[in-house]
Amino acid sequence: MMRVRKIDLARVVARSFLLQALWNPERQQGAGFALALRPLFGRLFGREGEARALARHTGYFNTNPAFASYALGAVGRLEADRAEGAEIPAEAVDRAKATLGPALAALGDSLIWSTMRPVAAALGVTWVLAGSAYGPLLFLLLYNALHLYVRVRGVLVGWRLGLGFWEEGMRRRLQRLRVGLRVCAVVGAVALADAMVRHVAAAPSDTAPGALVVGAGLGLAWGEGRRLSASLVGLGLFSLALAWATLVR
Amino acid sequence: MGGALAGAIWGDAYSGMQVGALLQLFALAGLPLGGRTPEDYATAGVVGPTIALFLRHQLPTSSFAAPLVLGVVSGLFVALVGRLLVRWLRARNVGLAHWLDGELAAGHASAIDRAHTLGVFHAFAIGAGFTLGATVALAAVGRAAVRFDALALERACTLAEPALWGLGAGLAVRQLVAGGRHTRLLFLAALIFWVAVRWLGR
Repeated sequence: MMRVRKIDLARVVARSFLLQALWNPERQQGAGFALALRPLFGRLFGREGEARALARHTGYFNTNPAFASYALGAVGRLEADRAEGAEIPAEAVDRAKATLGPALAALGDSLIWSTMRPVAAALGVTWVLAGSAYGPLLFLLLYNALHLYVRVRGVLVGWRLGLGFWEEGMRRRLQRLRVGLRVCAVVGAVALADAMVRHVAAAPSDTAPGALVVGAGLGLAWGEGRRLSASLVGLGLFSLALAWATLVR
Repeated sequence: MGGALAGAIWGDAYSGMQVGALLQLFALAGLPLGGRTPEDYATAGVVGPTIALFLRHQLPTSSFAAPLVLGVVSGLFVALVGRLLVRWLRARNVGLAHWLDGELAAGHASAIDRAHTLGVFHAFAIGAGFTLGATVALAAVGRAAVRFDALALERACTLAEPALWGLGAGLAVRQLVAGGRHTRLLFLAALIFWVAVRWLGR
C-alpha cells in the first residue's frame, strides 16, 4: 500500500464535482461517489484491488452534492484504515455511508439549497434591478464562497477525523451559520420586495401595481411539493394575459 | 449568469441579465432537493435571453417589457420540457451503470473514468442540441406571433410583466422566509420597518 498524498485528496475534491454525472434513478450518486474515491483507492489497494474496492462503492448513495465531501473524506479514511489492517468489516463502511447520506442531505439541503442559494439569488436579482451589471457576479461569488468552502473542507475534515467529524462542535458551528444565513435571508427578502416596488413604480402602466400584487400573492401561496410547478403557473399567467389582450380590445 | 453571457453575445448584457434574473427567481421554486429532478433552468437561462433579444428587434416598441416577457415565457417552457429530457438522460444512465458493474467485476478500474466521460459528453451533446433546437423553434414561433398580432402580444406582455415579477418575487420570498416561525416574524418586523422608513422618507 502506498501513502495517500495531499494531491490525492485534491483529486478527490476535483472529482467530487462529477458526483452527479452518472446520476440514475436506481443508484443515484453511487457511481459518482466511487469515481471521486478512485485516486485514494489507486494508492491504497494497488492495481489488483482497486476495481474490487470501486465495485463496493457504486451501490446506492444520495446526499447533498456539496456536503457529500464530508462522506467522501470519512469513507476514504475508513477504507485507508481497512487497507492498513484495521478490523473494519465492509458492511460497517456500507452502514456508515447509509447513515451519512440522509444526515448530510438534511443538513446540506437546508443550508445550501434552502438558504444560501435563495439569499445569493435574491441579492443578485436586487442588484440587477437596481441597474448594476454585477448582479450575476455577486450571485456567483456569494453562492460559491460557501459551496466551494464546504466541498474542500469536507474532504479534508472527513479524511482527518473519519466518522468523528460528526461531533457536537460541527453541528453547533453549522447551527450558528444557519442562524446567520437566516438573518441574511430576511434582509434579502426585504431588499427583493423593495426592488420589485421600485421596478413597478417606474412602469408606465396603470395595471402594474395590481398585477404585481396578484403575482406576488400567487407566489407566496405556492409551496413546495405542489403537483403543478411554478413554471406552469407562470405560463398560465401569461396565457390569461394573452387571452385578455386578444378578447378585450 | 447564462442570461448575462447570452445578452453579451447579442450586444446587450443588461437586458439578458434581466431575463436571467426573473428566471432565477422561478428556479428557486424548483430546487433539486432530495432525489427530485429539477426543471432545466440552465438551458432556460440561455434560450430565454436569446429569444428576448431576438424578438426585441421584431417588435415595433422600444420598451423591453414585451421582449422580456416573451423571453421568460420561452425560458419557462424550455425548463419544463428540459426536465423531461433530464429524466430521460438519467434513466439512460442506468444502462451505463450496469455496464460499469460488468467492467469493474472484470477488474477494469479505468472503466469508471470512461463511463463518466461518456455520461458527460452524452449529456453535453443532448443539452447543446436541445438548446439550439429550442432556440430556433421558439424564435420562429415568436416571430410568427409578432407578425400575426403584435399589438395584442404587447398588451398581454405589458399586463403580464409585473405579474411575472410578482410571482417570481413571491416564490423567492417564500423560500427565503421558510425557516420557521422566527424567520417569518423577523421578516414581518423588517418589512414593517422598511415600510415605515419609506413612508417617513416621502
